[in-house]
Amino acid sequence: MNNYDSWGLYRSQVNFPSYKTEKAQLSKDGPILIDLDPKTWEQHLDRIGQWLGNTLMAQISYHQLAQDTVSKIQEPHIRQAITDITFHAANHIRAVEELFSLIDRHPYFFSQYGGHASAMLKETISGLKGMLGGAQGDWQMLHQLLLTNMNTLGAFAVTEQFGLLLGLSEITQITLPIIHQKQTDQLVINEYMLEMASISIVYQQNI
Amino acid sequence: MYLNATKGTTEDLKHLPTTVRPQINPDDVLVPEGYKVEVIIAGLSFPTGMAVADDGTVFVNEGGSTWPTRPASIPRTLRLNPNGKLDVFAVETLGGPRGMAYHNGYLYVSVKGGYHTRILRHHVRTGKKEILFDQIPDGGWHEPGGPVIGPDGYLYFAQGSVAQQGVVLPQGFTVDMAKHPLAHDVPGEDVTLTGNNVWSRNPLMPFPYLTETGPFKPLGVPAKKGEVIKGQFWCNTGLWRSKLDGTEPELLAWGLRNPYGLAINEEGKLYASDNDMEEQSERAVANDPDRIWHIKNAQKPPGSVGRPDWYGYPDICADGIPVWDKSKYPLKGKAAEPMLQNPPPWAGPPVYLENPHSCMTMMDFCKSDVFGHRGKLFACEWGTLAPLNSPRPKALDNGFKVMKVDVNTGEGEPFFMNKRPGPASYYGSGGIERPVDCKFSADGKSLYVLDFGYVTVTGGFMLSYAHTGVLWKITKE
Repeated sequence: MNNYDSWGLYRSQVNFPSYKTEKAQLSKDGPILIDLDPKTWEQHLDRIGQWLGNTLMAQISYHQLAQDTVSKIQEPHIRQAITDITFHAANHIRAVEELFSLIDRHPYFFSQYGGHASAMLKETISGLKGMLGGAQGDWQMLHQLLLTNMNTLGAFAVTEQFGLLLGLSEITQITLPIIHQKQTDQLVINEYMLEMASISIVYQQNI
Repeated sequence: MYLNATKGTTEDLKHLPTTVRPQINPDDVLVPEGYKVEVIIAGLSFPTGMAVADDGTVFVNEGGSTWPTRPASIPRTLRLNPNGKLDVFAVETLGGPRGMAYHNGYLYVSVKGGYHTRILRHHVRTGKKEILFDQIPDGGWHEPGGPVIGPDGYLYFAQGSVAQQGVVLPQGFTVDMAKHPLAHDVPGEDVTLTGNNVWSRNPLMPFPYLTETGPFKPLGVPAKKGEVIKGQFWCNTGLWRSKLDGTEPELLAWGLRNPYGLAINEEGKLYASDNDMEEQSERAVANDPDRIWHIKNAQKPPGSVGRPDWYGYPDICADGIPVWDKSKYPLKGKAAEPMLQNPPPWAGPPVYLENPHSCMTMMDFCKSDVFGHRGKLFACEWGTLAPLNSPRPKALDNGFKVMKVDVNTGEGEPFFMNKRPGPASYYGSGGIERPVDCKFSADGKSLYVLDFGYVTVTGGFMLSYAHTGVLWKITKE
């Protein structure tokens, strides 16, 4: 009877509709539709597309930082954990591309995103270093990763709201597992950051 | 004010862009012979209640942040004029509108948001808004009830519990508790506690450490044996009446878990719908029926109710059996213990018992011979949240219909339902999802039914989708 995926989410039986259908003839006594006419719907999807652009940029930036962090970590367990997180981050970039495709939109500035992401990353790291007040050690990379993951987690959580707001479970089915993964990654990063930070700060030893 | 409403056709309803509810089709629902069903509005976002004015105008509340609290949409009151024009009558800024009643040029609305529920009224012609009450403690799980206006010219309104199961528990943080971590239940009269507390994980700590919580306390605050919690006039689980200008408020009842629907019949008797305890969590209760209460104190003259009646929350089920009885032991979660020592006299039994988790919501008495069934109570059943709130397979289809109830005999039968049990989305039809309110038209010929829209439920969580709500109209042919 019900068709639930591995997340227990109901999967719609219908194909994602084309929004380019001809508008039906108006009827004096017909139902009132709120926001459901093709023109309004297209506008909503355009706005979601703009947000997805921001999400993509933030996610690419985060992935880049995760890659850089792996190369700095010596302790094998932490290094493996961050390697796994880098893998997740790459998957989540592909998920944003899938979301674009789902709403029939394209990442117009995709080719520029790499440049934007690098600039964003440098700016972010510069700000975070200032916040740490000259503290030393590679644990700071994890601190930066923690905050940038939180940033992207927020971006995907907002995207999830769009799916809920527009009755599009396909968006939720993509974003909810990502949010879950990012929450899990956040816990992992936080644990290792705290582990490294106390040793680095008190004993002046890098891990 | 933002509103994008267009006229469509029944053909449009078969190709909606909302993939969770891709079609709406009156042919997929059942009503008794001699009645026809139409779709009046589609694309509503989390509709929570409605009212009908004397001239036939229909007001519909879109609740904003509802069940669960995400996503948020614009909390507002829409107005459907008799000429078919739809506009935004009011936008709420401090919460989401829920129930609504029209009387003599005023629209009375209950609003949930923040740590307190508000009861307000709009002067319909001028749009002037007046806050009648803003001190009803809330901020938690359940809803304001009503308001309704009686033939006695008094305003009746209610407030459900903050805690879902008699104690604030982690699941509360999937809804309003995340914004109101200090919220807790408040009793309507002095109660002495048994000292039983509930251990749970604390989602507010860096790790989900264990914490102990007592009834009528915020999360993480235990109760002591013999501790007396002072009753408050402005409690929750309470039901009040007042004059229409908000003066002379009087507490009639408390211990009502979620009295979302209030209705008054032609004899002036007041009834309240109420929802059962859930079979999940660290204080889980099985087999507690949904119910409709007769609020007997409403029969007494205003100002004469010395002691409010108590309807059982947090310790007595609707069938009169204590929540800790073996017959209430849960399959999912931990069994409940008593919270109240020497509880007040129970004001039950209810006039109507319904299957657990049917989720009875708003309702209206038929006062018209034209529609038929005069004197019967038409009661919406929003529908189960199983498997989230019960692991029992038989609970999966409960609700999702409008019942016709005889409050004198306690019998009920479905009046408006899908061709198969459950919401339309269970099997891809264009029928009903979750009826939340029903009100008779001003001319007495029709019953409007407000359908909340599509909700996904799993064993672990629920998600609600905006732009999937519908206003249906059932008319006697």
